[in-house]
Amino acid sequence: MVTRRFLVTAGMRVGAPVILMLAAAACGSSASPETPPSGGSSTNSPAPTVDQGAPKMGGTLRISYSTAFLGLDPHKLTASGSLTFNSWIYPYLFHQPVGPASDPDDYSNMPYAAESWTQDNDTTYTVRIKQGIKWPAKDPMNGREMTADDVKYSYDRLVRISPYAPQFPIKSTEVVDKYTVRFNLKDPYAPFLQRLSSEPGFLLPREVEEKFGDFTKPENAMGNGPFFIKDYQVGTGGKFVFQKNPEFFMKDKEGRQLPYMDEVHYIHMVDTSAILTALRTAQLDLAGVPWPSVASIKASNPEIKWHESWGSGPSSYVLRFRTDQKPFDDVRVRRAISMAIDRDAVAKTFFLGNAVPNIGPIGNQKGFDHAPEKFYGDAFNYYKYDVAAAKKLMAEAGYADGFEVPTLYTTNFLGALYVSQAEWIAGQLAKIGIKAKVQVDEYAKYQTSTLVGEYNGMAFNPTHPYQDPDDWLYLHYYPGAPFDATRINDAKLNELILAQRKELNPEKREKLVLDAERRIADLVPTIQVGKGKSATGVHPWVKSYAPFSNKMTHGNNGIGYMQVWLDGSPTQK
Amino acid sequence: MAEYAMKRLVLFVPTLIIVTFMLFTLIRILPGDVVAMMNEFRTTPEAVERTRQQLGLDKPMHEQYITWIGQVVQGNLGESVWSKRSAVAELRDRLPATLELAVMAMTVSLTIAFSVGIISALHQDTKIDYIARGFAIAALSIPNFWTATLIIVIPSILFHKSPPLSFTPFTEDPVKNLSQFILPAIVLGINTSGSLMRMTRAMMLEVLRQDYIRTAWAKGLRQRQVVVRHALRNAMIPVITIIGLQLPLYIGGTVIIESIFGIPGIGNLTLQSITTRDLPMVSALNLVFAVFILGTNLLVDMAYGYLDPRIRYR
Repeated sequence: MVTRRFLVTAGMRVGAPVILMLAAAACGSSASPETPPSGGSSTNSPAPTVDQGAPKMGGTLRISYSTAFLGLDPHKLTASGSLTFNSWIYPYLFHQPVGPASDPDDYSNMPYAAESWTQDNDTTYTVRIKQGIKWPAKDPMNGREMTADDVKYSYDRLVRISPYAPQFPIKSTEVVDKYTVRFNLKDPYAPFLQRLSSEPGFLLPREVEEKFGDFTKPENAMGNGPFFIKDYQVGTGGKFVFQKNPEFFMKDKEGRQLPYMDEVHYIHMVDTSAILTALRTAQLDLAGVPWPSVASIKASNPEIKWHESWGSGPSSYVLRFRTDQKPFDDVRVRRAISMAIDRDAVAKTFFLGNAVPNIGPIGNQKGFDHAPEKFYGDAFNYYKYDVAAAKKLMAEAGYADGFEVPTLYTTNFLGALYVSQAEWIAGQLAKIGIKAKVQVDEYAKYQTSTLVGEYNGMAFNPTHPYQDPDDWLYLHYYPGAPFDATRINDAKLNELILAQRKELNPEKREKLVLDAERRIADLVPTIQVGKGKSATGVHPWVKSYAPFSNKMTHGNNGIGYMQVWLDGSPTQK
Repeated sequence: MAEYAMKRLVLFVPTLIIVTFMLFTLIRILPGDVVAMMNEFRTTPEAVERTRQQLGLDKPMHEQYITWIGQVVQGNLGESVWSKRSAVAELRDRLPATLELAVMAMTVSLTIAFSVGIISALHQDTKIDYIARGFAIAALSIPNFWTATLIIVIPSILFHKSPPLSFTPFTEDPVKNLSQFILPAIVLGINTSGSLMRMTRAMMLEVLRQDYIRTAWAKGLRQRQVVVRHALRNAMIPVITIIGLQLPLYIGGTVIIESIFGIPGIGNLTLQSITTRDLPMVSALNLVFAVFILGTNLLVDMAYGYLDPRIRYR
């Protein structure tokens, strides 16, 4: 099961003060941590031109997905493929701004199925949904209107059975009137509104579960989102055919019915060569391209336009330590390892320079025009490449001759680049005497062992994308949390983590989050290896596509593509 | 021969039971618990146990197997623990693509192997023979995934052309379907033809030296009659053996080819099922493979008797 979700460090209720402050405080440099970068104050490429003419209706967008299809029940699965598909079928209460005209770092909540909301007190939120939103006109909903009962049903079910339930601390959901629902939380919870715009907060019809048992089968995926599933064939080369929902409740500013495209074909492709070939020969309208292949495609297909995005959050790959095991229980050893890793080399080797080093787990969002050493203080030194200082620390810790340890990482399931990075890191550690024996685990074994902290010594893991810093802090560093793979259990850090969850004042919460970031940087339970930029090749007939991957967790895919249109596509008659 | 066939069919059942039980157990003792995978964030023992009970995994292994056998006998191969699609529906969707690729690839393989092998044998130690043998070595040595990647990438760069990389059923658009399948069939066929060609050549050389062949030449028979009617048939027994060994590869061993050319076949389904610990699907697929392999072995054995009437079965 794949759980590749992109980290989105979301802001607070409205606006993104935390993000902006985090960005200003955290570090990043295209050269090295101590060298200010040249040029650019934004981590994102300039937004593509907004003026692309009036949207044209029709056509079929062809894109690919590579994860296995594991069913569609949004409350039973966290697989990225499922979440992506669900976002085309079901709406949320809110969504984040997307599209070329939006600020990539604007995480504010915009109405989707919701019309308005109020926060009554620290633990109570009242949301009013739009009137007139209809479920599909087929059995078992038969075109009835969506009401507050549907919202209550959806969130009650989520809390009852979803793997994400710990991140939705809802005590009760009550129906106030036909279109108004009230959420009563167990405790003040700062990211709550963000949750209402992210997976798995999809709005579902009760009748489907009553008739079919759950929402797993594509035949039972009946929502009132922008698209519905017209047909599907699972397996490599097979595709999910999404057809636009003619009854969709949203229109654009000029009153045109959304979405613009007639169909979206999601084709299952797992081989990178096949994906790039399909992009070159216009069998795909757009695709993510690994950096080593970008130059080749630019040469063979100069008409393809390029969108680059830093995404959000920290690097994709993280080195973790079991801080409750020798020798990693000694913070000097962890700091030494951090200093032995040449992050600039990671950027050059694996991303052809399109990467920046990260220090903290929350990561930087925009702007490198700040002084990271000022923010992190002494901890900043642990992230400079300094083999001599690393050896000195190892000697102080009693490991002047180094030691041997297995490194666990997952298989080629996540790509050859990932495996290569692990091997490269092992080579770096050899400079300070650490013999890291690289060990490959099959993904199923990795997911039920390494991912949840059942490993010895060190592990090289992919990270999960999230909507809020709390996801990173709580899920990964709080004792007993699902992904507490380091067992750090630091009293001061625990206090900060719990405090930031409950702090509703954005400025105060921001301070708590930044304090946690600094604490983690000092303790070094994890090491971010480098944050890479992603490149997407897009054929020129695809309009209004924006590098909105900052906010594009898989669950925001549908809303993102809703405002894309095609002009001159081979699929348009 | 009929009696022999019946005896072999009777042995089918215990063999199937042994094979499927071994594989049934093996996938369940591999590290990586599907229940833990399904519960990811949920850590309460109650939730985990509930899932385990729903999947029937709380019972002892032999009980699980007996339950599964009982379902199989009634035609129920189970359903995916993830997608809830029945194994029968998955196989129904995937088998046609796999069989189509297998038939096309085998056709290519046999055509190349027999023609090149025979020509090579008839022109032993000539330039033609050396070229043919070189081709066989290349076919054996060059990985098919490398060839497949080159075949789609180079034309896409030079001519912006490639075969369709998403699946279209034959019934929907035969031309598009065949244009997708022809290249992977050629790649697979060439890859497997190498060993077949070498065996064909070797056996033909041995048979062509026999007295009865010399007699056939002496009688004035034409080359075609000597080669096809007299020599080839006698050379086929080891070749048929190799064909029988290669057949299962077409069914379950084409994961990479399926991935590159976008063919939703059994190979990818098997890999995905194992990776996601989709236990019912793995069991169903194992059954299909076991039946197929046992069946092809039986057909190969029966073919011996047809090719060489001197062979008698007991």
